[in-house]
Amino acid sequence: MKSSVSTWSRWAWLAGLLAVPIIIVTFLISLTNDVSLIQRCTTALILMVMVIGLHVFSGNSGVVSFGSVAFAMIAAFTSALITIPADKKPSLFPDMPDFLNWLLSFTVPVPVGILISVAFTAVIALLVGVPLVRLSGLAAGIGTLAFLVVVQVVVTKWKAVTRGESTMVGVPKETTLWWALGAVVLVIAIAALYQVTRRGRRLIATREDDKAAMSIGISIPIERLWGWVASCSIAAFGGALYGHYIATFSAQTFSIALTFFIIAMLVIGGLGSLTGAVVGVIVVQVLAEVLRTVETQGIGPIPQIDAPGLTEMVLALILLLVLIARPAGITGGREITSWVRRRKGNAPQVAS
Amino acid sequence: MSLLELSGVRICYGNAVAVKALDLHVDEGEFVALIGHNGVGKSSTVKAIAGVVKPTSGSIKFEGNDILGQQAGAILRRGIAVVPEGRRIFTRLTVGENLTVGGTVRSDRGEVKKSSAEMMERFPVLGKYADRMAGLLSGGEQQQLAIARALMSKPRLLLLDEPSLGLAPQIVEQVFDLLEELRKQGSSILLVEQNAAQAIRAADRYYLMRTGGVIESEAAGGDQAKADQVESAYLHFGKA
Ligand SMILES: Nc1ncnc2c1ncn2[C@@H]1O[C@H](COP(=O)(O)OP(=O)(O)O)[C@@H](O)[C@H]1O
Ligand SMILES: [Mg+2]
Repeated sequence: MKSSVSTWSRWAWLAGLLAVPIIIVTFLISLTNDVSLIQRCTTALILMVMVIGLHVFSGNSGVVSFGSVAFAMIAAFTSALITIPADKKPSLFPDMPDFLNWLLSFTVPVPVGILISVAFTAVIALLVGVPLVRLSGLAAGIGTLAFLVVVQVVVTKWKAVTRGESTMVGVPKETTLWWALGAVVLVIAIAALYQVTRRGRRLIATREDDKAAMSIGISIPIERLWGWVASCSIAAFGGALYGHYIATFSAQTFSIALTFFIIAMLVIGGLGSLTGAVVGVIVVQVLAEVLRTVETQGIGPIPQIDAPGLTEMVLALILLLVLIARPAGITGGREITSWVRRRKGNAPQVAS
Repeated sequence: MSLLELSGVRICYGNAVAVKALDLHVDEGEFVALIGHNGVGKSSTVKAIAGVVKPTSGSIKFEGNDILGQQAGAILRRGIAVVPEGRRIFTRLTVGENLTVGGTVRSDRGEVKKSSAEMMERFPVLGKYADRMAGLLSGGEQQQLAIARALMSKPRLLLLDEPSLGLAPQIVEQVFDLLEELRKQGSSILLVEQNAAQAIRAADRYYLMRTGGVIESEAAGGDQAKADQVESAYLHFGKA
């Protein structure tokens, strides 16, 4: 009697197969000492955190969310407010409202700031999530988009706290390539764990067949809420890291354009699998890198094409092609473990 | 006292009456078949018992308690599990995962694990393919999984909505063998079927449902002649 493969081994296979290549590639890139390449690699890793965050909810529940960047934004601003050195704060925030004056008196180390901002954002995600998880399909999409717009407007207009269009400055710049790598590995481990354990499987079950899920006693709102809060917290983590990477940012940084970029990466990789989230980021980033090179100097036989916007246009075209030719994305919504199993017949499959 | 008792159950979708006035009961340890043609309201009846659809009037009692109007989750917790029409397994979860999510309403994780191992023993094909995506199973295997998934909640009453639909005759045979085995082990079963002859042969008692819920009820108990007779009457009725 063959027993089911243990949850731990599924988790280890999925997380390991995804994380190890990323660790190796990042290490190799660090060896090049190419400052601009390392910068772009860092950005790509931070984006990967956000894309994985979106996957945890949208990929597992099948409910699209346009709101993840809003949570990244909230966390970035929150962490900035508590990590900017206390002596700089009075001049940066001269009009801080009285009830928030306490924010000016202290400062915390960046890792603590990131932790607090993620926790704070998780609470907001919970409050927003309670009504949102009852919506499905188009209504859910519009609800999350509305939330993004609301946060955009508040951050832009509430100048006393967010500095509005004057942008956040003086934010400690501490995120490094290694921080970003550590964050990706941690987030892959968390997302994989969620997926192979009961909570995540129940959410996937609601995505597969909501009525059948209800018939076996799964509560759709409760499972969606868990996924939503986990997802928004991961997006927040990515946002806070990003804030401490670029050090100067405004509401425009966390735009609808970034939202669509993140969704595009998830869709190109394959909505429905963690592997898709990771592959989507890598493919889009590598492609963007190639296009950028063509734009600036040409590659081998390909001459330099001096066309600003080439990158964006080609990416949009590829997104369209993927949507038409392979709507389930490059991975077809399957996990890397299912290919390894087919080839070698040993790695256990993981629900995607 | 019957385990399950429906009286005067009326189910409407908007203005359309799907079931007029249905009386039906299932006793402890009994295997009851509810047969009837497409569209007579069998699935609506199952959904009403399971709490997915709310009847407009009548009463549904389980172990003497009124369950009409309760949430599907609450009814499942009381001990009524459903194998829905069309199987509806989770194709992109593995077989093992389908089983464990079937135990969602049970709080003891260790017990759920134990039940899952028991299911894999009882249904060897599920044990064999435990780590395979459920969508890769054949129709008959998926039906076994759907039944096993429902059993994971340790129900006192199992409702099955047309489990033989779309299966090859040989596989249908297997499904009925399985139901018979379950009954021998003391399960109470309400089986909905269009496949009248086989259902009547297997069941202790059957109800014949006609449009709106007019019903004949008789003991079946493996009486082949009776089954054939009903079958032909039933087929005749279908043509009329
Ligand atoms: N969700 C629904 N909305 C409207 N009418 C329905 C719905 N479900 C079933 N019906 C109607 O109710 C009647 C009984 O359907 P159903 O219970 O599915 O019958 P059966 O399972 O015996 O084939 C049919 O006339 C069907 O068209
Ligand atoms: Mg039906």
